[in-house]
Amino acid sequence: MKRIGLLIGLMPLLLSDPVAAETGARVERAKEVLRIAGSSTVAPFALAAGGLVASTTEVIVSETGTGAGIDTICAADGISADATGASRPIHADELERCAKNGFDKIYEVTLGLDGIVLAQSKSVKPIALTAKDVYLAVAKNVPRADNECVMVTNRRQKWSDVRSDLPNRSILFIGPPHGSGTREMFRKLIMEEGARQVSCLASIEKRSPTFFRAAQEFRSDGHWVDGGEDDHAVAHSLHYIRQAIGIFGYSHLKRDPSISAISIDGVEPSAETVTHGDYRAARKLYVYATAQAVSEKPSLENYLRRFTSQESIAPNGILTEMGLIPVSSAGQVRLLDAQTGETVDGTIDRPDDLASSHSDNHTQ
Amino acid sequence: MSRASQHLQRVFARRYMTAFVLLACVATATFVISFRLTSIEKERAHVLILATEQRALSQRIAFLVKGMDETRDPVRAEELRIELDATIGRMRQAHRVLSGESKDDQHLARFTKPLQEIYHGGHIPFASRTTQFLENARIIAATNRFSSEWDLAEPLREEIVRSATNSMMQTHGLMVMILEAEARRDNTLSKWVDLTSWLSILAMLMVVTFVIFRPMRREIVSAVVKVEGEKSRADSAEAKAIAANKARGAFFQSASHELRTPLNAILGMSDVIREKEIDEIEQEVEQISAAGDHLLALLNNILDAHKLSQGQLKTEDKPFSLDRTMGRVSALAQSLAEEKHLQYESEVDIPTDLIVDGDSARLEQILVNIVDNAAKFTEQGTVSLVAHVDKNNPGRAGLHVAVSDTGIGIPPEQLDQILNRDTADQAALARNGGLGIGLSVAKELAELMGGSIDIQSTVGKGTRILIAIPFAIKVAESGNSIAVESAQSETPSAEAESASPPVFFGGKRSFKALVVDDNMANRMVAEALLKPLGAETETAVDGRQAVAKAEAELFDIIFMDISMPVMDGIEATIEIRAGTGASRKTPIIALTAHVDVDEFETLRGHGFQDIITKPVRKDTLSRALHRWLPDSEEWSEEVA
Repeated sequence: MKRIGLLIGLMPLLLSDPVAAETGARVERAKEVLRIAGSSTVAPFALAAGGLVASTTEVIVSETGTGAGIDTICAADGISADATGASRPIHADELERCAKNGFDKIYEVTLGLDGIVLAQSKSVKPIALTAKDVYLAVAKNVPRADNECVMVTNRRQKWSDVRSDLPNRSILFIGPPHGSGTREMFRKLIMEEGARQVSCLASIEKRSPTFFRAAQEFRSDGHWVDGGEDDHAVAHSLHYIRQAIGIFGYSHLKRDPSISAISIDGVEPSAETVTHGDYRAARKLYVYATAQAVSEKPSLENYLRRFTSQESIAPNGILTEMGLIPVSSAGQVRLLDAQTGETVDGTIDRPDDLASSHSDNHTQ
Repeated sequence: MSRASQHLQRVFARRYMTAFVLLACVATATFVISFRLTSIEKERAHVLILATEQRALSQRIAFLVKGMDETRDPVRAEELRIELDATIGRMRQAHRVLSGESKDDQHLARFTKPLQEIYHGGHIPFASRTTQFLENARIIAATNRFSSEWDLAEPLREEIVRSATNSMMQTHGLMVMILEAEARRDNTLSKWVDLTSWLSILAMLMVVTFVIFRPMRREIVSAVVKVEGEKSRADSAEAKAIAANKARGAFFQSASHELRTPLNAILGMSDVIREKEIDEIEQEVEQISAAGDHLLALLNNILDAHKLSQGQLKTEDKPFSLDRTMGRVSALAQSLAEEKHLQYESEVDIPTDLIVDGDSARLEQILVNIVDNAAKFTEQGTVSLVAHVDKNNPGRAGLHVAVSDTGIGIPPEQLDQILNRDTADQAALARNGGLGIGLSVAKELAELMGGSIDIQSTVGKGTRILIAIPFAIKVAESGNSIAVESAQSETPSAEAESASPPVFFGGKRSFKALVVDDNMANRMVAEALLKPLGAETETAVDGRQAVAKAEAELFDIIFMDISMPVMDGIEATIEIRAGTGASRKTPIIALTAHVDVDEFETLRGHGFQDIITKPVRKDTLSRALHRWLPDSEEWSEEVA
């Protein structure tokens, strides 16, 4: 049984930050461990919030991607994360899976806004792109012509192949991988819009949503590379892979002065353009936790409160300073019925602070 | 080697060395850079391989974990576990290198540096994730596949598989891309370095060409121009020297001729006076005669030396008796020794009937010169002459003559000078104040005849001179192929002149002789010498008169000077021979101040029978008369 004990003892290390894991042996037994999985975009904020909780709680964050993160909080075998960050709203089918696994209610905490930025090294000549440019550069198959929706394999090698006035530079995107919320939002907010800017695709969107959706498939011929869940690594790689365009959260752009954002349809990402909706690739960031987990772990409730406090999300709050863009709904807490996806009123387990802490007038 | 040449050589050496050093430096620098770049690329490739391998290893770990999960075969499970362990070990080792944790691989730090921010930066450092991945894999590898712990570890296995296919693969892929980008950038840099190296080599070649070799070329051109200028001056000087030498030669010829004319008178008149046997003045006449002979010998040596210097002196190839020539030399040597009251010893061992081909006159000149020197520089003691012939080579007779004296000797430092024509004068002057070209002329003559002269001398004790000259045997002992005298008839050589004892005609027979000479003294000498021999003489002052007289009167013999005004001797002889006059068949003997072998042949071609060189001596004349007037009838037929 000794062996089993060891294995079980090591289980908390699963999905955890190895640094914390390495120091885990030194953690006092009294400390409660919170495991936060999910979006790499949310991960920095999740870690920062962890620093605000009581010292008796240890927060371990891992970047698994939004989809995998949601899966872990609703895992059937009960070995899961306590909460997950998400760079997109939870999908209905994910809620259904949670319900199916016995998690009827899910807490959704809105953190704020984040822009999906396309960035490049400052050492290369700046370029300005349209959503259509991005679409024509990233899509696996593209219409033969704007008004001819015969889909052909995308053979564009250089930006000048996309648009003649763009530089003669190889097309290379280093973007989020499958399962990433950022990838999904990038597709939805930029690729979809880009496809829509191709007249024949715009006309086909409503007639054949499936065709329209298939037209947004990412190319796999080396011009798009999955850079992994580590936004920091992607941003850092731009220093060396100079022709590349990296795709990650706005907060990472703020942290690295040697990279610059690329404007999309003439709008550069900034707190203002994202807040006001001028920058099209803006999405909300969330933290999800099952009501079951919240009720079982008081420290989790306390942890979630950190995302709703002014200390964190006010204009000069800790998370805002990190790059989280405030929004009126920031700090809003909803208890979702996993069966229906509807907000449940009169949530018993809802922390008071969570509901009352956001009194701003931000609109979404 | 001249200073200019040394300077040029120094310049060449310095510039070549500088060029060599410069090019060697560039070549070395290029090699070092190239070598360094190659080493760098090797290390870079190693790092790139490690990063690429990490992707594959993470996939391999996921594959092995899944494989272990799926198998029901304990053996297979154990195989997979062992491989999993090994793969974990490899990935861990590579991770330590790439993340900079390995102290043994710090030399790779420059290539792994771009990865360090990924490994150690960010909210959740990738190094921690990798370590966690490996730790999770290690736990699985340590778990018994068929135990309950294995079932409990299913989430761990799922996490390994998920992590391997996501972050491990993708972030390591990102690292590979970074390393490739760096490699491409450095490759571009490397190309620039190569280009720079190439340009440096070109630049260095240009520097070497324009800064080192071009000035050198100028120096060479300058040196060549200088050399050419100096050569031109040297050529000019040589031409002047040749001209001067020619002029000197002409002067010698002319002076010789001019000197011989009065010498002819002096010697001839001395002979005439001696013939009168006037007791009171006999000794004085002898002195005059001896001085004249000495003067004549000097004159001949000067002329010969000049001819040797010009390469104009030729020897003839006529049969003669070695024994008779040596006999005359020995007699002279004895006479010279006795004059100075020296003891004379002679040992001549040469077959009397040995006839060889050669120039007896020149041989005699060589030996006389040497004997004369021996006597001249010996005040007391002995002069000896030893001669013998070796016939070691068939058909050849090697004449060996040793002339020894007990004279003052020659200092070693003067030996070479005495034998050198150009320095002989100075050396001889240093010895006794005389004109000492005799030995050098003798040496050159001997060499001209294929022989040699060697001098052994000790100052204060004496000198021994060894002469060796080879001759072709014409008639060996008891041979009878050619009569010597008939051979002698072809040449005016000294051999011919003394081939037989003088025959005196005086009182026994009278004959008519015509003496043609523009110089009155010469005419007087000839008449004075001929008359005692029984001649009735007529004279003519030029060729024209001679032709007229020969036309009008039959002469037994005509003595014809060559150089004369109005008509020279050759022209006159041709006219006499061509005419119908009484003396058209009369033997005509040329009287010349000097004559070469070639000239004798030419004169024969013009109708002369013989040549007598001036100054004319009584013995010479009598021998000529003996030869050409022994029997006038026989001679007349021979001419006809």
